[in-house]
Amino acid sequence: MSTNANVVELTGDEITIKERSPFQIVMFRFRKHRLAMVSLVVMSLIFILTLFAPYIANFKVDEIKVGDYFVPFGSVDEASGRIHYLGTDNIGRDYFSRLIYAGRISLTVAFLSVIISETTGVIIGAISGFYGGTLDNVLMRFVEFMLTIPGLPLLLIISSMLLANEDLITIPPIILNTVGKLMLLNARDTRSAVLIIMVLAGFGWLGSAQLMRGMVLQIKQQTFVEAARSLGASNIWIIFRHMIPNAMAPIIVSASLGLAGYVVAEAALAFLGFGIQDPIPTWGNMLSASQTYMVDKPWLPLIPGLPIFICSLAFNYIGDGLRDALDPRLKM
Amino acid sequence: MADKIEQPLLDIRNLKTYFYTEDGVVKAVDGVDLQVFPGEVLGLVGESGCGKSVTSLAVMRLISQPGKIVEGEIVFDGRDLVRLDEPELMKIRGNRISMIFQQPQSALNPVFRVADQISEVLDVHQDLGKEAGRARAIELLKLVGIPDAESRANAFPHELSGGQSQRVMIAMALACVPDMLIADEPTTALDVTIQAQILNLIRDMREKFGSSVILITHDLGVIAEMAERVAVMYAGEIVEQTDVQTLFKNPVHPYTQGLIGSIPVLGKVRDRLDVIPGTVPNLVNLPPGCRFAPRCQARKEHNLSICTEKRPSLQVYEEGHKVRCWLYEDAGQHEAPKKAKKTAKEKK
Repeated sequence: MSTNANVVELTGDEITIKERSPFQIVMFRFRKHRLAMVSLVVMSLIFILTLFAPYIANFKVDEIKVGDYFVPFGSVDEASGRIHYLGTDNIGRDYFSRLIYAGRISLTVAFLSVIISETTGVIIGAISGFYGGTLDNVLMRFVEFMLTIPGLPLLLIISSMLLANEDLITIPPIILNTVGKLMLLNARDTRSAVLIIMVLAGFGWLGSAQLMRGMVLQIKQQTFVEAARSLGASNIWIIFRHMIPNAMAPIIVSASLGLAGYVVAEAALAFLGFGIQDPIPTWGNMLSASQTYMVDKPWLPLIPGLPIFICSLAFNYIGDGLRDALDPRLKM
Repeated sequence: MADKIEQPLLDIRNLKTYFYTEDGVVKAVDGVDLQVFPGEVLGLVGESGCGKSVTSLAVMRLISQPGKIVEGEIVFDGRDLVRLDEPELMKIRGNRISMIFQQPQSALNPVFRVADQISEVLDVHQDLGKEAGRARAIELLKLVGIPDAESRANAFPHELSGGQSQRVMIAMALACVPDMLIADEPTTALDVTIQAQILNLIRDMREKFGSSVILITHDLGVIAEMAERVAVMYAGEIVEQTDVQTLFKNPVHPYTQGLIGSIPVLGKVRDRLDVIPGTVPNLVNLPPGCRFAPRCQARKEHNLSICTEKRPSLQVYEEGHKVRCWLYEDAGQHEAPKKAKKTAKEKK
């Protein structure tokens, strides 16, 4: 019984019923979703790998061994005695080290895109739904207009434009430095990653804005909003204290599904050559670079392809599990 | 009667609140005059859709689109609420006038703990710190009779019963010790036994805090129990206003008489309850004369033609007793009905 989430303890003559907090109840239900739990474990492992990339990777990202091209799995580097766990690529770089650094960059891009797009979407959607009228009309027609444009071609055009012209957009150095630290990149290389995040998030908030607006329209009708107003709360207070927390469940689900989308989108951009460029490794551009060797060395594209596949699947399952756990139709 | 001479805390004058809908202008409140004196409980009675709740929302200035206050003044403590701007209103709402609602469980935000919701009010108005806010919240919970307040403070609204939720709502409403509490059908959604407890609580709290209470209800039993003065509303206007004893002993407006006649009396065997024939008129298309005229039995008995032609005004019937009915229009050439005259004489 997933609804019977309170703990009943029988100790001697006394019966104590411990009430669980909603968070505990959600966790209790989430644990019942087996695939989601497996996905969570897998994703945690990938996170740990990428988080400790500098300690786990035994080669530098751009360390080139002239002559050691396409060495097989487990080959030992004669000079230093280090092992190429997954061999090397076409120019002699250690494939395993690049893979985990790439994971760090790809996942950071996905997470930052989700955070930015969901925050923007939530705020714009909430304002649009709450105030209604002309503002709502203008915002939502804009969102719908943006959604009618086929995404990928536009992403390609914008990202190629931004990446080519350095002076088109200047990014504050604070952002470059912080994001650079997250991705273990220097400020110059970070620029392209930040631009990709901006492009992805710039189109990603549309869906969550619509979702949020719908939720707000529904919540707006409830008495507690009127009650809050009758107790002297301002509009901004009501939006942030009452609307947004009540609409969080579907937003969390959409965010976890969004993560899967961004991992794939980033890979797609990179694969088509409009994303983050070599020598910065991402799963997408590793895949892109290795596609030439698809026939005679199939492991080269398969190795970066696998984590893209796993992440996308795992985030989807986690989203699924969260949806089941947070479903408002089940009583908390 | 002595306290009637003092300055009213709330003085509603000729309040008109219309809703501009696609079907036309709904005259939900159409010329209401009402005074609430400090510390008193005023009952506002009437059928569903007669404008009770809209009046209370107008006082809070919470009428939203497509509704609008088109005319009138709501003078609260010397200031006209109709003319105040939003920031000033926010200082009054919850602080000087607060409101409790019919559905206590949906009036609490489902994602916040009880203590946080109460301290939210304190946060808005008094800028209390987190610790102090929580302590005050627990104090208020104890005051409204929540058992084991310390641990219930951490409960979420869905873990509370209806009665407990209403107690929490009352605690929230009283957090800033308001001058006036508007209770919009506070007991309608509750069990009968809980109703009595909540009414007692409201009465106790009124004594403790000295707040005036506007009690909106369609339940005359609640009025008899709680109110000191009563205003009876019908189709957006007040038809009779008097103290509670007079209302039950000597109701003069035919509508009030009908309302009181339709209460089942325990131990009294009646074949049928007296009912008022017909329904509340459409507020878009109101009858030209007295709004109660189409349903009025007295009009038929006395064969008055003016009732369907001209709207009566709220007249003083005797001291502290006002009525809006052509039957009692002194200046008019119409004879007052015998029954009412007799009772009036008896009183004197």
